[in-house]
Amino acid sequence: MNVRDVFHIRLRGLELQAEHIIDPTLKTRSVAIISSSSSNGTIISLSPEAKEEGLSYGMKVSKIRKINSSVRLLPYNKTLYSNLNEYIYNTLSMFTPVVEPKGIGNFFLDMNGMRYIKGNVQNNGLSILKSIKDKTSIFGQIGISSNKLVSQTITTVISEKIHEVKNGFESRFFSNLNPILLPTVSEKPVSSLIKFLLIKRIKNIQEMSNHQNEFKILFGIHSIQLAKESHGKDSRPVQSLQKQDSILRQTILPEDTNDKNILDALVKDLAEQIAFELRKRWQLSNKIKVEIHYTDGYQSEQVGKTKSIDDFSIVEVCHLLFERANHRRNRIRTILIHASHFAPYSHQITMFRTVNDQNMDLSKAIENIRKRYGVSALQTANIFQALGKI
Amino acid sequence: MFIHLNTHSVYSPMSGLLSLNDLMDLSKNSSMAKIALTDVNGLWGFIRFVQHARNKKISPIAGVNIITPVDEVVILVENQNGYENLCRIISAVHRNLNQPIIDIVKDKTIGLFFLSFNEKTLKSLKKVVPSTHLFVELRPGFQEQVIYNLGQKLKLEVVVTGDVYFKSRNDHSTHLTLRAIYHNTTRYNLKGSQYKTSKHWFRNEEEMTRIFPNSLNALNNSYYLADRCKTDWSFINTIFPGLSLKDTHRSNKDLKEKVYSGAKKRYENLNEIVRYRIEYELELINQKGFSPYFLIVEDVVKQTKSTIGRGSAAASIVSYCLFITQVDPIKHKLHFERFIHAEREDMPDIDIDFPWDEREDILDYIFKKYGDERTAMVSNQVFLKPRSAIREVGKVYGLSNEEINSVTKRISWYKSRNNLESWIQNDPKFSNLDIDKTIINILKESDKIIGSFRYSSVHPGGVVIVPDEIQKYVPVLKAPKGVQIVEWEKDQVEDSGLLKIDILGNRSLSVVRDTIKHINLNYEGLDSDNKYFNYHSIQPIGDNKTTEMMKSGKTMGVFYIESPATRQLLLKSGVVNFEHVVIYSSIIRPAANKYTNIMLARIHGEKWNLIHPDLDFLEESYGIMVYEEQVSMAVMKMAGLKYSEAEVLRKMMGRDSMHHQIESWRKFFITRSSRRGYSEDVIRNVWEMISSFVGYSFCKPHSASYAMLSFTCAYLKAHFPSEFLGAVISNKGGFYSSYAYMSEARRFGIKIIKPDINKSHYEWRGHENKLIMGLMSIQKLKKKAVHTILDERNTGYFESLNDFLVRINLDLSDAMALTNAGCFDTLECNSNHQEIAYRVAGYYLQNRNHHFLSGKPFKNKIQDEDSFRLELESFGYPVSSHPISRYRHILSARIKYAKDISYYCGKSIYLMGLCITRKESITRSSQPMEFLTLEDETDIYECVLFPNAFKEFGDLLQWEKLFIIRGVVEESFGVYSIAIEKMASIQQWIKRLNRNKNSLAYKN
Repeated sequence: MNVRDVFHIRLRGLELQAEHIIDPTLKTRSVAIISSSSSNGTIISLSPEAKEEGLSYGMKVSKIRKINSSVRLLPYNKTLYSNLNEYIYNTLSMFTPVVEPKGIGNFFLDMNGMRYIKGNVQNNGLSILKSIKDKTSIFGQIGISSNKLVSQTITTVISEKIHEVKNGFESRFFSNLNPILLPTVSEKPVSSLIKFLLIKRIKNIQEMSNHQNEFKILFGIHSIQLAKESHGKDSRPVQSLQKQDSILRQTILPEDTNDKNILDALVKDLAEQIAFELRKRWQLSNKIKVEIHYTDGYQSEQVGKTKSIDDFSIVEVCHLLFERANHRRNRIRTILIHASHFAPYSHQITMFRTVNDQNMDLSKAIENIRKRYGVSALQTANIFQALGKI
Repeated sequence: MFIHLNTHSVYSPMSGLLSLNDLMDLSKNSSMAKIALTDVNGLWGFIRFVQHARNKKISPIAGVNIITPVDEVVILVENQNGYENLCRIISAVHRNLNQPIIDIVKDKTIGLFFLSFNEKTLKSLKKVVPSTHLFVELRPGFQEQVIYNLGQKLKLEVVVTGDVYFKSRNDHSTHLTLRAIYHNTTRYNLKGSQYKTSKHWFRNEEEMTRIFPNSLNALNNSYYLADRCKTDWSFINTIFPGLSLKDTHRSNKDLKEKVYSGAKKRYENLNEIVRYRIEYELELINQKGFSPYFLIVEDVVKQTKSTIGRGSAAASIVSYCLFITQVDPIKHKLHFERFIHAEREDMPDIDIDFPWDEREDILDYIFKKYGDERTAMVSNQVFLKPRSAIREVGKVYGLSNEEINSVTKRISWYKSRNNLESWIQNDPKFSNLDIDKTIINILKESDKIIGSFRYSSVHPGGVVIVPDEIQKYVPVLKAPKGVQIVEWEKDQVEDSGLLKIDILGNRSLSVVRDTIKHINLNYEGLDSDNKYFNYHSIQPIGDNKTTEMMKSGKTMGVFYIESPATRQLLLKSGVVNFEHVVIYSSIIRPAANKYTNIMLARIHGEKWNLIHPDLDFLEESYGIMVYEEQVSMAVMKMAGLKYSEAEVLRKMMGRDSMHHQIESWRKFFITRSSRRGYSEDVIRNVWEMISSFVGYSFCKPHSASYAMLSFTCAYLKAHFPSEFLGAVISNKGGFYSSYAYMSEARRFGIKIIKPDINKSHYEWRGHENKLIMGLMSIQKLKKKAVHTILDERNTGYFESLNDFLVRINLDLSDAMALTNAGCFDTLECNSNHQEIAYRVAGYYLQNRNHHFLSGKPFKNKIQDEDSFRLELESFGYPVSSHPISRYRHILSARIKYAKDISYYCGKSIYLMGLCITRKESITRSSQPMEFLTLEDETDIYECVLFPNAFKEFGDLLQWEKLFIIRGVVEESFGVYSIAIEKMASIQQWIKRLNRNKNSLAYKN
């Protein structure tokens, strides 16, 4: 039988490691990355020093401040982490054509056949980790097995840099682990039953699955999948990413606010930047998403599409989406506008000048200035004010 | 000449900013002898308005500004008929806000003046209102010419109004905040129609002339119109629910018969003293026309077995003989004059407590008997207080709930304060709070809106019954609960002359009822004359066992004397009899701490003299002023006040809204008393005692009435602790959590038995030294499932788990809840939780053709940690072990047990404890401190966090329950408590210990 080699690469605490790249002095300090600096923000990533001081994942900012005020709290820098993740993705693509990113700092690699080309599979892994380290200074670990489930579990439960579970040993590897590691256990009926039956080891599930009829009664439609998973079986292929071409613009507000005037100005600013990019490409966006991050960590988004590429129509669309997305009274921390699903922009010339034509001309004129002096060279006063520049 | 005929006070829900005081001051300063209050869609503060106006010698005009989605009109009252019509109109608006105004007012226009700026509204009103009573309103924001043209077109006169909403132009921003709160939006998203422009501030005549320079006639019209409005309001006449003269005569006769019939049951022989008292009271009651009211109350009380009358009504032998109250006023020396006095102009209410779960039925009975036309409940007017104001303004400013909570969790809901910014910046309670610019803005804005009226809800028990039509006395509306309520809250209802009955829910009455029921069930074999069988026949006073238990302070669960402070007081005093318990329950007031200690010293033999021989009525309470009537008597004696004047002072003490008058009363008392020859010292000491009554206080009859219930509860607890504590937990009643009462049961030697499918009932049931948990204690078990099980069990006990599975069809979630709670453990003694769970889940997961699962696929040992978790999930607290005991073996042996505290007096010791209850307080120098009640596996103990410790550890109490403390054992009157020096959360402490161990291992 042809044995697959699936690598799972976990770059633990990528967010924190990214901050270390930006500011190496943070390396020896007690640092935590938080979802929001308001008192109800929570820890997303933290340094071992911070852990020693009693901080833990998910802890609230208000509590951190009371426990230890010396911990340096860093805000979540989505753009930085996304860019770094993408860079690592490109690095990994050099080792195999089939790389599947899974959120920030997690990748699956299908290394089928590489064993024959590059020899020892563990050496392969080590060279991948070395390459990431050399190019980004990021440390990682690799789980190797014949499927995604086992490889991912390895990096979750084993702290070694590289670990391999040989084909045929998956069931034994899983037997003493907590059932919570099995994806099907996250299904509500399954998780409540596992909890009810006080099952704390996967081996209990393995034993139960031997009594097929009763297992089916208990876990119903999930029984087959759960039985497979409990024995470390997973047939999901590693799927390479269909890379989506997109434009992302984000603004972090100088001060959290729900002041409509400031928010409108900032949305306008972002929308003009998107319009500028779209005109460069001469493309429409069939999916334009306005995303709002509130200070309490709550997120809201609305999706629409552009019909034209002049500043005015894109600002109008973005404002509309923003109005719809902003259904709360809470203060806003970040606004993102994400344009994707591009299509060529076709424009029919008419004998008479329409408002759209006038708008386009004005946009072009502004654009010429911006091309020459930069995007921020020409901005309305309220944008300057909103950005705290006045 | 200009008079404001359209003004809105804080009683205009979430739009007006003017307090009634401000409104009066502004009118006075503008030399306006009259003023109309036209709050939005209601007479919400009308009685208060009249009182304030009278104080400032301004004539009050009643009115309303009806604002509906279709119309806006100002209505002013010309005469009494007009007032009645106005109440009906407002009630109709409350019923349907979308109705055109003409449909509402068409048959109710008599005695009313109408003003509007809307052509359509004026045209429609013109059909039913004569032009002498209909005017075109010219208000700020409108052009004079446009309004004049309208007047000419409709042939109506123009009247200028101010349409006032706030004091000055600067307050507009606060008005916007209020509107944003009302519309649940931000200030930036308010639509134009949702708020007033900045023009709606209070202008004097000159300023009004400046904005309407061409409208001198219209300005003068406001004066002429004001002159035609009714301003002579009188509310002295009590509106009795009785009807005609003939009916009242019959009522007097009926009352006498019922009283004598009841007296025969209450007293074995009707001696002269009893007869004289009855006759004396009946004479006064008849004279005041109070008989129908008594009969109504008696009829209501008859609907249930156990009630207690609260308040001054307990001083009446008539109430006692009608079984409205349970204290013999002769035996306990309660003076009827506190209840009804010949000089008293207003009538007191009779307040009655009913078992909490029977209250709704009683209210239904009243509404059915007297009908919606005559009956309504009193409303509870909700105003913005510091906490709610900060919360709401915080939301407008976009703060998250967490951010808002960080400020508001340190403020009690009832706290009323001004200048929030300086308070929060200076009070050490807020020392750990990050106060940034936004918070400061929010505090400033909140300050301005404190006292704004938000909405009306239902008062917990006040019911108004009138002889004819309630809508002619006061506007009524439906509360969200569907109950009809009057617009006014209890004080305005009382001051308006409407008579109310307070029907309040009392959990302890249910506890007594259920305890008696369970005792009867447990001792069915006892002969039927047994004294325990009847609420009215229990004689707890003088019972040794009861007295001893009360003396030892073991009164958790006992009505009114179970708080830590009262338990300590009982323990410290060592004297427990009815008279003393009456004193204790009156003296436990936040402002009377000082006097509690003085009294304790005197009880323990300290020599004392009366503060002045004239104040001999203080003899009964160790020379200390304890009851409200002692306040009245003191001011009557010393300042020479009449009874009715003294009553005003007494009432003022208890009402927040009247506290501003305290200072003038103080001066008045000092001047009058010194003029009558009392020394400065005596006057100062007496006033100090009087001022300890500010906030809340009780009259002796009330305390006596409550003390009687305390004794009844204590008697039941002393003799039948398991039945009693079972009833306390089942009724979710009292000061403490169910867990605390469970611990108390353990301290009484009672064994707690986890729910059992064959033995448990819905509620907790006690018998002898066992208390079996009720199925109600299982958090995730639905009530319907419990009833299904209990109904089926009536046909026979469940013989095995399989028998249960076959007989009961349940949702899996209910079956899981029962299994986790251990309900099947006795049915399947040889199986562990996993096996039972496997069979239960397997059975209920089959849709049809149920069969039992045979397999026992695995058998793990159930660990203590699992059992602990299951109990926590099932009940919300552990049952088999104390939460502290889990940590005892991990932590140092230096940690002492609560039962041994007395051995360490004066020493600093370590203790562990679960927080049972806590109470924040302030020192004399206004420093915050906290009283904590903790318990470990062995006993309950009291602790104090003095200001320094509070500053350091106060925040910890917000999120932790299990503590390790270090503190000094202190003793006072033989009672021990801990003054905390240091405290930490147990879990945090253990984490720190582990970290230290790890780092030590690492270093080694």
